[in-house]
Amino acid sequence: MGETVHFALFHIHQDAKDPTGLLFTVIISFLPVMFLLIFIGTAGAIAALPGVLVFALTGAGIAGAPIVYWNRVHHHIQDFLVSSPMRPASFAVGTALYATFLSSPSLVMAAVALAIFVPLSVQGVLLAMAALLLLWTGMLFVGFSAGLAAKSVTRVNQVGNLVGLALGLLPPVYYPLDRLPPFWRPIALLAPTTDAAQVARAALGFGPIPLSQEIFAFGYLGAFAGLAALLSLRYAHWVEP
Amino acid sequence: MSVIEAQALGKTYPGGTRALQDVSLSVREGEIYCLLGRNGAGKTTLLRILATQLAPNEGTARVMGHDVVRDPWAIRDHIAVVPQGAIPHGWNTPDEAVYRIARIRGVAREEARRRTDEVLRDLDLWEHRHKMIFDLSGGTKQRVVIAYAFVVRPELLFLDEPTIGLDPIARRGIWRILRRLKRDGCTFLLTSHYLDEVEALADRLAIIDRGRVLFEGTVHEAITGSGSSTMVDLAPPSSLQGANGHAETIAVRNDEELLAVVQRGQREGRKVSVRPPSLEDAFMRRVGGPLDEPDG
Repeated sequence: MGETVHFALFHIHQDAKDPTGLLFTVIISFLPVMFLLIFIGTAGAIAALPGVLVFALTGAGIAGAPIVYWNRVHHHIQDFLVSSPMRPASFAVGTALYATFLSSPSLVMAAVALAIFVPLSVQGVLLAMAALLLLWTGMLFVGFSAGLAAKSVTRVNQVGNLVGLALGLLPPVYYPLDRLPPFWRPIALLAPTTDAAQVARAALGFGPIPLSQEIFAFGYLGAFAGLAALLSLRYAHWVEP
Repeated sequence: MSVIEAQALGKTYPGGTRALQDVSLSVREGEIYCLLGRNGAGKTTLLRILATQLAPNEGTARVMGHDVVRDPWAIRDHIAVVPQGAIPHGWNTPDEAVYRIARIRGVAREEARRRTDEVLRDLDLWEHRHKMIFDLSGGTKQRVVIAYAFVVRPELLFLDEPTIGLDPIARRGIWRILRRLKRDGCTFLLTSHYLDEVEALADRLAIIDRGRVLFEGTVHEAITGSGSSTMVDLAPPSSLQGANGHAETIAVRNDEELLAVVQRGQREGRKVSVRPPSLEDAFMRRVGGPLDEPDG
């Protein structure tokens, strides 16, 4: 446990020195909320807050890719730690903690705003957290896989940008699925972020969704997390073969 | 007692590159053992296998009495590594980074603080300890990486070209610390391109080329066992000095050969220097093919 926390702190120290990077992530994740506030009004902006959580967790997962890549190839800190008592699970969790730290200001601000503006139920919060946890887990494994498989820093950046765009901004994360034309809805549901956002929105009181859609969303998110974990394990080698 | 025992180690990378073939060596407790070889000779591959980072395809290796493949966790408590080409995280300060590495390696808070201060002083990083690593010179960054390993105080330390990029004074500073740690009982496996470094530090060395160990022994044995007792340097003829000049270094085994070479040099109007063989001569003779043979 100690090694995990210290490994995360090893990285967190750096970003704590320059909070502008964290401020940037907050602004990016809240940008759609600000647009909705200006063009739709307060209600639309508040209803978009679950989208901030989804976007921030997506970003946390993708952030794992460059962290893994740079520690493996550039800093060689992974080599240093393989030749130490540190367990690979501690290394992975420490990386996940750091990646999530980068999104934590957005997560905290969105959670506080929801607590202030929305009457939340314990059951609803737990349900939303479960969906978001599955999304976070899956995205982290996607980030790890990209960082482990990448042969160049260019590729890591490309994968991060494309996955972030495809899963974080294009799908209906900040607004309800039914705002999309019917043709696009099933396609949008292929993005796990859509499923997580729909469940979170419904659980936090922004309009119900059918139980069948909720069950499908949890199943889909679970499958996504499982497949991403398998992909990650395929690339992950503590001892290089 | 051997701290490292490798028997017939072989490694072929998934792409088909054969990096090691039939490598056997032994490193004794408390010695500085150097791996000497050209780029791509297999030094790093061997070091990474022994440091439990890379799986071998053939042979066996035991480190601190444990098999590197079957029982790596029993080894990892006792070792540390300075990886080749590692670049420390730039936004940390040396003080933060080294202290945090000590904590990651399980050193208690007070002890980590004490050791960090000590290592930063030893490696002449004290005055830079609160600067961003980004702002440090290449050699100073390299010393931060070395500090990561020193703060652990391992029983066995693997160093993969640790002094590359350091100025001569900084290199000697590292040598001084290695010797001190050796006196404290630490064993070292060190790869290097620098022959002077190997001559200065190595209790024993292995010369590796194309994945094979060509020689294992002391520096003295490497030099005396290279088959020549004297080296003769022939400068280019004075009329040809410059771009067309061709200097020769000739290894001679006895007085007759020596006389023949000296006479040839005089006939050709060349400056002749006679000296004892060096480690570089021994290395070149083993790795780079034969030196110019005497023709007289």
